[in-house]
Amino acid sequence: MANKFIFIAEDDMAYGNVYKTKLEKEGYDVEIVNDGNNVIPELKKRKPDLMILDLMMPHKTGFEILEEIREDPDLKHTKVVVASNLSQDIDREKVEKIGAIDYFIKSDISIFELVEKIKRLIAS
Amino acid sequence: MGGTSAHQESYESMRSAYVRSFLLFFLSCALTIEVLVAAYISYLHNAVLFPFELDVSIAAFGVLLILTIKRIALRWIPLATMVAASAFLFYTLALPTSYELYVLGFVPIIPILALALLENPREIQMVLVLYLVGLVMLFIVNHDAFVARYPLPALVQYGAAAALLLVIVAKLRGLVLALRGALDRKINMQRKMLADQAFSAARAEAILKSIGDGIVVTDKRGKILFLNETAEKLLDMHAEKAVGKDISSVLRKEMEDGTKIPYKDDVLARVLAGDRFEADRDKRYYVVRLDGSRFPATMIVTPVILDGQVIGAVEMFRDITEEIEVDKAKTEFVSLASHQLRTPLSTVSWYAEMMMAGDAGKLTREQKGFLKEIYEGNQRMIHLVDALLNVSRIEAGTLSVKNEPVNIAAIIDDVLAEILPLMKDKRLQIHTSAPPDAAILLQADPDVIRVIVHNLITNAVKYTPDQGKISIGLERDLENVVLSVQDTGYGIPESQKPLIFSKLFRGDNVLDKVTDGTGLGLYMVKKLIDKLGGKIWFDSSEGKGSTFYVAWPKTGTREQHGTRTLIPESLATVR
Repeated sequence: MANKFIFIAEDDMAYGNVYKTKLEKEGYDVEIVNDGNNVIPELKKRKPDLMILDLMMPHKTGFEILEEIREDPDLKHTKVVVASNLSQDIDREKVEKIGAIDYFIKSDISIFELVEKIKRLIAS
Repeated sequence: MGGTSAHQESYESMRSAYVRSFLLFFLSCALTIEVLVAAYISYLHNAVLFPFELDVSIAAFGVLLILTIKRIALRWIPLATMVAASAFLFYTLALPTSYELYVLGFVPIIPILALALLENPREIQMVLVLYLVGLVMLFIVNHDAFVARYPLPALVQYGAAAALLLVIVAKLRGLVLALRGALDRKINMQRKMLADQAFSAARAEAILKSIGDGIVVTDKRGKILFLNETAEKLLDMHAEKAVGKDISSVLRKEMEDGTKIPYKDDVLARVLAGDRFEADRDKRYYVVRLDGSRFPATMIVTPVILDGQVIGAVEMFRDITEEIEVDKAKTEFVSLASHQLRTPLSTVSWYAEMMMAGDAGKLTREQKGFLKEIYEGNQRMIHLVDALLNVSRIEAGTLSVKNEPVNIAAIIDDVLAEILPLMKDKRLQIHTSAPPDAAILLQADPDVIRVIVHNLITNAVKYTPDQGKISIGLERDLENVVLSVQDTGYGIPESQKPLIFSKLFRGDNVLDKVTDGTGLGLYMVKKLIDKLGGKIWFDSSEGKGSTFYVAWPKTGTREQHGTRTLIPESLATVR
């Protein structure tokens, strides 16, 4: 059986690398895109089991990408979890309204909690 | 009150100088007029109407009387003079002579009055000399009649007259010279005084003009007396337009939210009413111009006091728009920098966690130990960045505060559970007491309450040595919910108690004992409590421990809308 596929939109490679390292160790296929403009085209190539979306990205913000995903009939069922350092309630409310299935603040979560969350979300 | 009495003395001496010169002038005029009248009457009647010997004896009597009285009591002099003058008037009236005597009868009063009222010997001398001149004139006018009455040899008469004249001339000359000298000195003195006054006036004006703060001076009723250039610019109003108006109509103030400040609550009104109160630094005021535009300002009011009475006030105010901008820029910078710091901090944290979990192979005991140090140092940094971010949000004034039911007892339990490992490490005894109906509800913002409770409890844990005791109490009275956190810790040195809520302040006695304090916790707690409308206070004695109390109004805290919320803190070092 093929590995579960996690698609990550993250411009900061410090985070990108740590996601990739840990999630590959956990047995997932991982792809990272670091430019907002490339997210949608790359996403269409292979549909992920889960997408981790950063909010602050160059060229296109996470908010815009999420809206496009929800409006695209081909992509609208993608499970998207937002990972950001924007810790304001207002941001959380906004992405949940657009349709993210979960939201976490990168500096507030341990890597183990993150992996647990991903496993749970993929299984759901 | 030394200054005031000196001031009064100089005022008194100035007044008596005026009175004296007026008297001198008056007496001279009176003398001249009387002499002229007497001469004219004598001329008309071609007869001696001047009872010379009587005059002289009365004058001598008067002088003696006055000198005696003067020694007895100075204050009785005017009265005594009047009595003497009246006695003399009756005496002359009783004489079977012509009415002209009435007029002449007053002549000797002149030297009497001079002696009675004048204190400067030179002035007395002047009056006496003028009096003698009068006598001589009378003598000359009535010469024939005089000779008929006193048949002295011509030589004696002319000799006496000449001698008298010489004396008079000599006296007059001396007098003129003395007066001229005195006049010169006086003129020079006044010239110097005027120059000094002009200089100090010019200097005062230059100072007032060059001051970058707006200055408004009012009288006791709050009417504007003066407005400097800066005030004109700040208020966009010419001084001529403002002077004479009520300060309440020119320097209108309001709070940030536009609430007008009634004149009676204004600092200036309170100072004029005699309050020992000069500035309200905790609040931010806005000054509203006539056209409705406004600027943030700080102000200081100083009463103008004369003889212990407030006779007016000086209000200095300053536009602090720029300061607020700078402060805002600083806060935004801290916020941005903190955000940027969080990324590397969380990746370091994640890698350290992975290594400790053996993701990169099995670690030796020593490697694990080193890694734990790295991890904990990093967590401390995350905690500090969170605190800085919270402080910058509080300071920026953009914090939003919710108003919903908060179970404060549950928050206390949560926080205690979170820091349990640290309390176990330090073998601290913990004691909590709350009213039996367990859930205490408070209308407030749960995140804010949590940050407050968290900081107070972790402070107690941090600043209490091993095996100490911590008691957390929750009480309700009619109006408030009161939280108390008591420890048996290091306490706060007496001299540093006033500083304990200052930003970045840490007590001297704990600097070497607790190295991971930031000096932000209590500062933040105080700011948050102020924002919620609660109160915080403490008892502490160094070496014995501290108790912090927080009271929140039961009716609920103020709900405030803003764009920011707090980062829920956690004690990073024990996670």
